[in-house]
Parts: sequence; structure tokens; C-alpha cells
Amino acid sequence: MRLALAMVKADPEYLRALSEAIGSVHAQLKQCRVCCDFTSDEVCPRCADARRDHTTICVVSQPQDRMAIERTGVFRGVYHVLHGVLDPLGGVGPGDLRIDALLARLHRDPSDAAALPGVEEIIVATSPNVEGDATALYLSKLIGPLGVRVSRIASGVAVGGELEYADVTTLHRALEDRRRL
Amino acid sequence: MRGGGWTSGSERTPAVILATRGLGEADLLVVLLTPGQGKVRAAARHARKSRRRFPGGLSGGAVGEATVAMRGGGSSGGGLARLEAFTPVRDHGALGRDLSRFAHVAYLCELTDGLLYEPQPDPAVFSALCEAIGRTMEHGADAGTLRRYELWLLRALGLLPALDGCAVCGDELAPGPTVLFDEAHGGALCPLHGRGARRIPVEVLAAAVALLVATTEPEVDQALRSVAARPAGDRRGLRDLVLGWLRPHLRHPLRSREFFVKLGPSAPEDG
Ligand SMILES: [Zn+2]
Ligand SMILES: [Zn+2]
Repeated sequence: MRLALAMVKADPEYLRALSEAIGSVHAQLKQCRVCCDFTSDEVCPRCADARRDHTTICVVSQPQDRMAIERTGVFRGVYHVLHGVLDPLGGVGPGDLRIDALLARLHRDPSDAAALPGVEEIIVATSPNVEGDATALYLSKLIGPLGVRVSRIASGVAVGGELEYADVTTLHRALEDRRRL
Repeated sequence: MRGGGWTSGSERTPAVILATRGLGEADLLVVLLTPGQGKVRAAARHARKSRRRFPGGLSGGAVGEATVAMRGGGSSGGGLARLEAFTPVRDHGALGRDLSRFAHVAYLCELTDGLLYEPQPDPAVFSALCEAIGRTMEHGADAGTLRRYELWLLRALGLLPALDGCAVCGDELAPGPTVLFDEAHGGALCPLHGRGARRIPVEVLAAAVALLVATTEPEVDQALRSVAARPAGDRRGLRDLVLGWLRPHLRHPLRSREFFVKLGPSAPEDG
């Protein structure tokens, strides 16, 4: 409502530019080939950044959570966006999440010298509620046997809360206190 | 918003969360089962970030104490109530540490939501659901617990076919390894009324009856143990039989059952 009121008062030229910008964002938005985050390129800026630590992947359920973690500035690894969590009541099973794409990132061809270093650790940063925990558990059962360390962010974020709404300090501590699964 | 359309007081009541759905940016639509008001649909404002009013969060299967403000006219309106607070009485976080428990509790909730119309207060259904969730949390996912609750719910809603006498004449069933059965004619049938009906193993039917009649804790334990000890084929037979009774009364297929399948090798035995 507040937005609508502001728009009524705004300059028509500005409104046209705004609507074009929104339209083009929608048209250009796709999923990163590697991490499945939203991006306007084939590969998102984080996956393309060689200075980041590609041996550590932080798994989140939605792009907003990736942004929240990125804002803390403490995590220098790369991300993976599942686009959801296991949710029996919503009928969301493992096949509905971007889990295959995550597994594909763990299988590295040893003969390819130019390849990025292999993944050593997966940090599961789904929200600390029942669905987020169940998703983390499912991933640890799937990935653990592959010899990759799987850890879970600590519940510095209140139990039952959602990651997107956590404050920076809490998120910071949650990342520092991650534990192995 | 406060005031207009709402009754003045809010009420504290035991409740089970059957389902939640996003409602805008930060709110949740919560479906609750309560003993006194039956199924209640309530809006929980700022639920996605309020830890004070909703400690432990709001997820399906949580059993606790809810503070609900009913829409004017109490439960009869069928409109959206307001969930002001919810405090779990037990730690349902354990659900996130066991995929089988997680799937089973979701199924118990979805089945209840799917079969009950609001408002349909039934304290007995509420206790049966609490018992089934409690057992699953304490003893782990067990298909027998699901069957007992399904049968119980069917009976409470008057949807259970006749199991221990002819559905038409009430006569005793013919002795033997199988029972004549036809849902369209009300359930089990005597030889006279059951001509042409299909036959189901008497053991499968007996297991269903045993699950239903058990009331004390040791009786329930005993009934569940004997179902678990039956061959897998019998357990599947019982499952398919009961699901066949439920299906015509559900408005849509249950997503939690799809979820069982989607879990693949880590799926729990759903019986
Ligand atoms: Zn990427
Ligand atoms: Zn008869």
C-alpha cells in the first residue's frame, strides 16, 4: 500500500524506468549453472570468483538466505541454493530440491588439472526448524559416505526461526559455531 | 485490525498444529486441531520472526498450548481466527533428527486435516492424534501406530466399514481363513449377503479389530507388537485395505504419502 501511494506521487518518467527495470530483471534472471542461485549470467559472480574458497560449500534453502550470510562478510567459500527444504506437508521431496546439482559438484575428475580443487566441506545452513533440520540430516546421510565433511550451522539462530530474519551477529556466531554432522 | 470483527477475549487451548502456509512476507496461516473448537484456521502475524510469541516455531505436528482469538461468533463463522501465541509442550525438534518420524507425524497431521471439516469439535479425535504423535515421537515411526489412528479416525467420523459381523444382517461371519468383504455393501458380509464379494484374509481383519479395540497402554502395546510381527504381506494388505477405506473421503491425494515415496531408500515403512 505504501509502495502504491509512493508510485502515485512519483514522476511518470521515473515510473516508466522502474517498470522497465523490473521487467528486464525478470527476463534476465536465471539459475547459476553451478550453485543454482539466481543470476543474470551463466555462472554467478561468486562461483566465478577464483579468490573464494571453492573447497567449502555453504548450502542454503533460498537465495535470500545466501544474501543474509553474504552480508556477514565472514564466509569466503561458495554457496549452493536448494530452492526449498524437505516438506512432507507441501509434498516437497528430495527430488524437488537442487540436490543432484550439489552432488555433481562433489564429483571431481582427477585427470582434469585445470579443475577447481575438490570440495572438502559442506556447511548446511538451512533454517534451524524441523524442515531445515530434516533437510540437513538427509544431506548428511547422502554426502557423508562420499568422504566430504558435512557440518551444520549452530543454532545461534533461535530454534523455530527462519534464517532470512536473523540478525547479522546471530548469523555470524552461527557460522563460527558450526558443528560436524 | 484489533477490535473490529474479533471477539474481545482470546482463549488458551491445547492444540496440535496440522499445517502451516505462508501468508504474505512474514505471516503464517496455521491450521490447528483443538479439543473444544475442532479444526481452526488462524492467522499468525509475524510468525516467521517472532520468537517471543512462537518459541520453537510453528511446524506441523507440534503439540502445545495456543492462544487463539476467534472471529466474531466463535467457531461458527468458519473465518480466519487469530493465533496470538503458541508454546509447544514437548520438544518437536526431534522430528528434524529422524526422517521417518518426520514423515509419519506429517502424515498423521495431513490425514486429520484432510478428513475433518471445521468446525467439528471432537475431543476424542484430539486425544487420539496426541496419542499417535506421542507414540511416534517416543517409540519411533511405526506403521501400526498409523493404522491404529486411521482406523480410529474412520470410526470417530462414522466411516468405518463393519468388521466383526455382517454389515447387512449383523449375523456372525462364516468361520474360515477368509472373510467376504465389500465396501459398497458396508464391509464384512455373511455368506448369504456376500455372494460374489471378494475375500480378504481373516487375519488382516483381526489385526484391524485388535488395533481398534485396544484402549489401555499395555493393550495398545500388545496390538502394535502383534501387527509388527505379522509377515510383510499381511502388513501391506492391512495398509492397502485401510487406505482404500480412507481414499473416497479425502478431497485430494495426501502429499505426505507422495513424500514417503520420494524419500526413496531412506523412506520409513509406512506399513
Ligand atoms: Zn553460482
Ligand atoms: Zn448377512
